[in-house]
Amino acid sequence: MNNRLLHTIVKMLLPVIIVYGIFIVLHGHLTPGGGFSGGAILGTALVLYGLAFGQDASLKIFPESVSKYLESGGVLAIVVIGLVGLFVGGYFLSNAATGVPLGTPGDLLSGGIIPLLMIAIGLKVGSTLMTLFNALLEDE
Amino acid sequence: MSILDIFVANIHFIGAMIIFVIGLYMVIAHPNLFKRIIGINVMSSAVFYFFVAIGAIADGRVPIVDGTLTPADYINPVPSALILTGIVISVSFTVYALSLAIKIHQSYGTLDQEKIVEMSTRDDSYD
Amino acid sequence: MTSLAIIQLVLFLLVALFSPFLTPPKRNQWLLLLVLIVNTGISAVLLLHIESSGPITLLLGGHQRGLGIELLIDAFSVLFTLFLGALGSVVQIYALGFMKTHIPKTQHTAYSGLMAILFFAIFGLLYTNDLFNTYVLIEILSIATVALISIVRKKRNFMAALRYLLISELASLSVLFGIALIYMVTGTLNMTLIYEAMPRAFANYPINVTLALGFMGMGLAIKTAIFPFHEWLPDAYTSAPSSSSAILSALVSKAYMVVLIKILFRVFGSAIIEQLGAQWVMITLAAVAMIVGSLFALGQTSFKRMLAYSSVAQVGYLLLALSLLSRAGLEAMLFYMISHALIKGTLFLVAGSFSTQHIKDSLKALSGVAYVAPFTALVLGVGAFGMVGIPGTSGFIAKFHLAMALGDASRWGFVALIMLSSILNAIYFFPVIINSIVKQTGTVPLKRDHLPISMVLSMSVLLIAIVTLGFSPSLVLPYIEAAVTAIGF
Repeated sequence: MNNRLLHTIVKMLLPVIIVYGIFIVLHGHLTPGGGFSGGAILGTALVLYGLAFGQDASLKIFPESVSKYLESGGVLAIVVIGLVGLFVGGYFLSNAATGVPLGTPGDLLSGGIIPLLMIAIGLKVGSTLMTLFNALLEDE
Repeated sequence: MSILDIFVANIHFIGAMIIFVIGLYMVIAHPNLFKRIIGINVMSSAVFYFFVAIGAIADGRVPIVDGTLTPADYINPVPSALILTGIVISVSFTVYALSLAIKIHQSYGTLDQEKIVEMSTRDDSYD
Repeated sequence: MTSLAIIQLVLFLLVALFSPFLTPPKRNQWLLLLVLIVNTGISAVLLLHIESSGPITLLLGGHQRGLGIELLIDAFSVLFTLFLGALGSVVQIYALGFMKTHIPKTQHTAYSGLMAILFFAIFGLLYTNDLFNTYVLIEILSIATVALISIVRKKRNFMAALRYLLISELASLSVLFGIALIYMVTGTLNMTLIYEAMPRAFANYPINVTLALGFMGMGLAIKTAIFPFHEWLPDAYTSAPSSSSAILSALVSKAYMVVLIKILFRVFGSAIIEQLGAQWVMITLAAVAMIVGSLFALGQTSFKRMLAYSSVAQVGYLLLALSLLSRAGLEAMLFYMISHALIKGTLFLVAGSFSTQHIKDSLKALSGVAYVAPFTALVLGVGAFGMVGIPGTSGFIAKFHLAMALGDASRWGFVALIMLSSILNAIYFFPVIINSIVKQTGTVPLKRDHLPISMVLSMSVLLIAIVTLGFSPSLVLPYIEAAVTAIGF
């Protein structure tokens, strides 16, 4: 794990991957992709870091407690948004009725609750990938 | 329409069927558990391919509404969106199956199913 | 009021979400029990509501029918959420005591989380009216089930879990392939819309529809362990901890049966099934399963394994009732499902109680057990009577209704087959009962059961339920009739 070439390239790649992942998550309501794809890219960045620098290093910047909270939090956010829709608009996950402005189609800030859902999914998927990676590496 | 025309028109579906059968063969014929997991993955890829191909049209555009194209120009986005969910499930299946395979390899020292069945002596004590 | 079904699903999801954060894990178990009881109550309210004002359709997101996911809450789905919720609560009460000795401490949190996800998937499967959603929930259910098997960290469990996982993924993919074929010719995933479009699709693309029926039928046959696809069942049921086995046999397999009913009658419709002759396939498989399952059970030396093979035979009975494609047949099937879930669940709980009292899980070790654990032996006796179909238990009523339905269709040969299979049941269950009473070793004074109070309580509830249904089946029959009407007969 003391490979200078690997470390340097991973350090150069990581910001690009992370920015791209965030881009995909945030444009989920505009372009193909979205929460899952973007979250998977973010998760891949963490896995790549773990592969290059070892599991201990990756656990230091992204401990399991954090991913535990993010995983439950992501789903919880979706459930809460859905329930708000249920109580305000009459349907689970109803969009326009929640009061989040819909904006003009094509803008980054549009689509009502959809971007919020995408962010929640992105966080959930990214942290879940990290958890799965750790689960595969753990030895009992 | 000649048989060749039918073949060309349904090339995606026929291809998906062939991949499906290859995967099925791997699952059924290989005693190695790891290869069977991979076989399931091949099969799921075939089903996803089949599903996505339903929505595809020749020279179809990405389904982003910008006002310049009619709906007939777009690829049907529903199958793609559904298959995204399918991929999520496939990933979780693979990870879970692999982690079980690691545990099995740790406890039996092999992934050959026939050997494992041979090894596990049938005792009657169940919880 | 109408959205209560959503609240049920959300409650299960919340239990799963909060389970990693609640300490000590004991609280999780109580929380899950509370939610189960609340949801059973909600189902009861919904059932009364539907009786007076008709079925409820819930559109998620408020999209119009066909664009979004739709939940259909009618007499059929609510009857089963009510029943499975109630049964699940009883098994959860049992698990409160059972877990301490049989599931490692570190896994208690995971157990309640997985159970919550399992119930979420079961309730979702019963309510959903969308084919793709059905596939997703089937996958969630099978992964949760496999996790419940591997929760005891032993070699054998890992192997049983992986085999079950592989075969159930094969089944899910088969179902998904069927869904793809249906979507190809109907252009929709909403079951009601597909049902409307099906006759035309069948006339234009018979190959697609036939293949779809074949793929989905095979997938669900694997999931419900219909005879030639039952290979995974004995290992999975026996290596899981007994409370999980009860959940697997009583709840999970019944949920898949409900999905099968929904796919056959709400997606394809009985006319197409009859035209394709699929009922003959079902009859053949059912007849073989009833006899071969019982014969396999005869040869077992382990109690849990015997129960598992007997489940293979019982699935044959259900399939036989289903293959009639008639109102009477479906009524008999639904009653049989309820009766079998109660009895088989009880028997697996009995197996768990034996192991809690350090009685080995072999048929030999059960001799004279009535003197060591009289209460458990009593429950075992009633459960075994129920499986054989002795009058006074729900099993008798279930077999009686099935025979009547077969008689209506003048299939007297199959009535004889039921008799034969019941005799086989008696041949392998009666020796167990007789052995347990006939004391073979020395003079041991009658002892009391050493069981936690929760386990005794839950087994008593199930015992009372079996006997009550045996004497007054009219308690549930009106609801079953309403459910069959809701399916479309």
